[in-house]
Amino acid sequence: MYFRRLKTFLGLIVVVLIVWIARLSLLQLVRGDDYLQQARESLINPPKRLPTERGRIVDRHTVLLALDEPSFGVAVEYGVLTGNPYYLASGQYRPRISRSRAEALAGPARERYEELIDQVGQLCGLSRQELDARRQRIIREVQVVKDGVSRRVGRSTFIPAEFMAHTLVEDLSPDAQARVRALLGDTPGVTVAATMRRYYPMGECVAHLVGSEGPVDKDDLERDPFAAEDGRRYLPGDRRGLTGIEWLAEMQLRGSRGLRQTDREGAAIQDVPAVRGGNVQLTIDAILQKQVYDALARHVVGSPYPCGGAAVVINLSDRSLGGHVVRGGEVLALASYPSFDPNHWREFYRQLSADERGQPMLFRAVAAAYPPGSIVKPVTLAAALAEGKVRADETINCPGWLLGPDKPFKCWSWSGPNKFGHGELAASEALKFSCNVFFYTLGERLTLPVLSRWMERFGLGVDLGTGLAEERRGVVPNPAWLAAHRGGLGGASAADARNVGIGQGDLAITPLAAANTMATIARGGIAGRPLLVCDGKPTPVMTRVGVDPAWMDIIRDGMVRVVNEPHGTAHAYAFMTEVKLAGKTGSAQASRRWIGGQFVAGRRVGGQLFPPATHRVIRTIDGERVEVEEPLRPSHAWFAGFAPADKPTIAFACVIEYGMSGGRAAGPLAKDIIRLCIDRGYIEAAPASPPAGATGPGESSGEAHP
Amino acid sequence: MIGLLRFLRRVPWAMLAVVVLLCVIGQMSMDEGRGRKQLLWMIVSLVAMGVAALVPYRWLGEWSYVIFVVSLLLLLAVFVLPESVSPNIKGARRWIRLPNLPEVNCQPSEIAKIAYILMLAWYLRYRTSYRSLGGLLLPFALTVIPLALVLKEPDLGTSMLFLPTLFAMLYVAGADVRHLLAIIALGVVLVVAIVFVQIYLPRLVPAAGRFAPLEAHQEVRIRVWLAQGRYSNATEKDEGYQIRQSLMATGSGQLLGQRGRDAIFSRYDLLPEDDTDFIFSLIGHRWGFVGCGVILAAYLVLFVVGIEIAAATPDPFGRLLAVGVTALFAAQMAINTGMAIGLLPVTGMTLPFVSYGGSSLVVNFAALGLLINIRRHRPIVLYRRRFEWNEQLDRLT
Repeated sequence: MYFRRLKTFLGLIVVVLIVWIARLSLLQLVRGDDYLQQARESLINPPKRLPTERGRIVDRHTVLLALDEPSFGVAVEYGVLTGNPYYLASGQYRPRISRSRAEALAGPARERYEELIDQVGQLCGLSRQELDARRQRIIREVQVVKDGVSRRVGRSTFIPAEFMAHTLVEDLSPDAQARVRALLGDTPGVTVAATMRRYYPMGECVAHLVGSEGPVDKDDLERDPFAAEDGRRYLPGDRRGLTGIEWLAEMQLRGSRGLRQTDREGAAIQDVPAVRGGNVQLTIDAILQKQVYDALARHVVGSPYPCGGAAVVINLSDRSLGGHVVRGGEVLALASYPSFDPNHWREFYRQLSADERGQPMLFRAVAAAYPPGSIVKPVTLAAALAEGKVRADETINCPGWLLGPDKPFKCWSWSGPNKFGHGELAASEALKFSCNVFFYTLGERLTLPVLSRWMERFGLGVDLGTGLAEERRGVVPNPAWLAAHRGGLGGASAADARNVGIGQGDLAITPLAAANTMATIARGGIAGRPLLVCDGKPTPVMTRVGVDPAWMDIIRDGMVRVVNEPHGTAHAYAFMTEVKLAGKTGSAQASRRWIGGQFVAGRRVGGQLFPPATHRVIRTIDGERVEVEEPLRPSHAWFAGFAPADKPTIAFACVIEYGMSGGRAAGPLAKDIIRLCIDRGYIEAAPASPPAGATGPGESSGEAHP
Repeated sequence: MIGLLRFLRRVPWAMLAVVVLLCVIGQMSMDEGRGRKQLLWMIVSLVAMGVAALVPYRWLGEWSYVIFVVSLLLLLAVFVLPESVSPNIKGARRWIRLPNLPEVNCQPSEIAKIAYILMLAWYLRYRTSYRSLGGLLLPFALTVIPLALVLKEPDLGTSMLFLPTLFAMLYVAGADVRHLLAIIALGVVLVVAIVFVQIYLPRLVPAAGRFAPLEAHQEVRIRVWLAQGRYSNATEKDEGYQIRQSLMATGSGQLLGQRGRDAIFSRYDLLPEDDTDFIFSLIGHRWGFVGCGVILAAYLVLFVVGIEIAAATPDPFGRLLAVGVTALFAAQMAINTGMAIGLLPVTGMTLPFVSYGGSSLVVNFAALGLLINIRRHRPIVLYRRRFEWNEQLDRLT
């Protein structure tokens, strides 16, 4: 039995060996090729990303407005950011050792890295909290992508971003860069890395339009428009446009990232060069923009309640200027004041967003809708003429007021100490004096639905099609809108029609829309849309609004008289000899509550002391005329028009918030803008014939137009 | 002189030849520094082998209980001694070393393996009690003591050697096969039950998770083994790195092994423990299926010679000792290569005579010395057996 059992024992051993041999032949002979392939692939290093370069934004003369510059930042390996024990222990992500051993080894390395990152933070002037917050943000974003990919694949998976360095500190100054380099030495995992940063050479004058860019966030990663393109897909740490053209032209501007993958011997497996994104050319003339912005700044600062303002210059029709084509509707300047320094706004974001008065982040030219006041009177007149509600030769009497259902509607001439009426006025004279009674009458005759439709035809309260995220349509109230916004307290009344007829009531438009409407009038009733980007396409088709050119001539005549005839509302402020200017003032009563909240006398807002929000007026109390202090009725100052009046080439609009008087505050600004346009060659100087009986711009036309 | 010649004639040269082959292959598979250290250890091992071969083995048997108790005390000492003498390495306390000579450290569990075989062979040699179920109790109890102590260190690999050795010795000694099979069946059922409760039951009944008998890292190892390179989560992927790399290294060796550009695992340090526990994978990578075959064939020669020694020895103690040593080698070989090729879960286990490691080498050579010792004491055959087949005579012996 002993020998048999010994044989059986040997037999058992042989059986085991046979099983082992069978397994070996499966591994080595059957699956050998697969395993060899796997082994070869395991030699390939994770790919390294090369920085993506975003396209440039240039003006119409290819002046650079935004470009990517190489910059240096501190890049930290993801393993260090997360404290991955394998990485900390061995400098590699592959778990070469057991987890417990890795944990034991990682402890000291972790402390060393934390200290190092602290020191880097000190050299770069960043607090520990800030660094931690950035770190958490990076980790969160990587996890978002990881979750997304895992969901797509159907199981937990790894993504390249987990094995890469991420930029923790951006834009090192040369000094900080040298210090950080000296500190880091050859430390693996934390390096000074070349990245790209956005630079805006023109600074604040085009900051709103050009916009800003910033790191992608969770939403971008989840809804990635480039998801299908490997090179352009958003990855954590990538940048994308946030506002303005940067946002609008993201599809064009985004570059394609480079990718370099090598094996352990340094041989390239994959070498995809980075491709810079496409350039975007704006219709803006950078020099004109800068000059208009400076003029705007000067006039806003000089206004009685300096808050802000905007100015827009639009080219009217296709023409060739100095060898290059300027299309009709192209916006030559789009200034918004106050603005911000686009290269450093992040550092001052808190201050910028706390400035309730100036609101420097607000793109006033397209994003702020103001009551337009009298600048819409030409549109009301055009509508009335086209609808046959007023004859070209008809006159309407202005006694200073127009009786209404419950109270009289006063003309502006009936306020203040010297009350008077305008008397019998024909259409162009009504424009010249900006008579409210005339346009109350027209508004009432037209009725609100008809008037609002005409305003929309002239480009008010509609989408202008710039595509900017900031663009607002403004409000042109029609009965449906009123019913919706008055909480059922009644729809459109005759009073609404009267108010909208003079540009008040609920009407609100943006400066860009105002300039575009002026362009429509200047073209003789042909509506186009404002263009911001030179995209090489032909000019969009312009449409006739359906007003007889003869009637448009009456309107143009009225607007010429506003500036060029004595007692025209802007004659004292905007008359110029270089060119014959046509325009319309607007002093739009604005919400006093807004001022009341912000402009209380002596109250500090944004660190500045404000002038009193009251003024002294004479009132008749118990039959006695006394001077009393009353809360101010604030007005925005508008001036919009076109030049030259006879053969217009540009239209413009400018607004100064709380400028009080359209002529006084905005008129001189408009004059400056026109002079700048002449300098830049957009208007051919053709001296206006001095008006008959001109008394010169020094003469005051009374306390004139409010 | 005559005595030396007689001694040399009785040395099992075939066995020594394959052991030298295994040692050479081991040398070729580790880097120079370690190889040199291993050579030093080999000198020590040869001394140990000589001592084990020359001391009369029956004398070892007479002292076997003492040796066993001493080895148990050494196993206990690992837990009692201060950390300077018994260091905690990677969470395990398996070593005793002199504080001023950290290079020389000894593993009591390695000594315990030999002491255990000596003790068991001495205990079983003239008994028949183990042919009943009740008589198996004491051998099992004697096994559980060192097994539990080694398991506590923890050293799962070494502790797994005791049971196969016990079964082999009991089987050859003549225990009832039904009893042994019943015990094995019980063990298998227990293991399957543990795996079921640990891994599969919580999937069906989430509340069952709290009855999990194993610790998390043990569960992960079993999962990794069950997954065979396909992983469902990151922890398994981390823990499975070792076995995945091992399969990749072995498999990519193909028929003749990889040299030159594709000798990936020789050129880069991609396989952890590739000169100790996973040296077989590296051999498979460098010399392919043929190399693995040579290794397994060499071991087969070793086992055959071991069993031949057991068969030719009339002394029951010598017989059981030879079987025990052979079973020890076989179990070590099977577990080490089995885990390298993914047939068994990963535990720490050296490949005898090939892997780098002083204690294991010395003890394996000492065990080899015991085999030589037994072979040396084989009685001189005065007449050859009849060549005719005599079944009756065969049955009597």
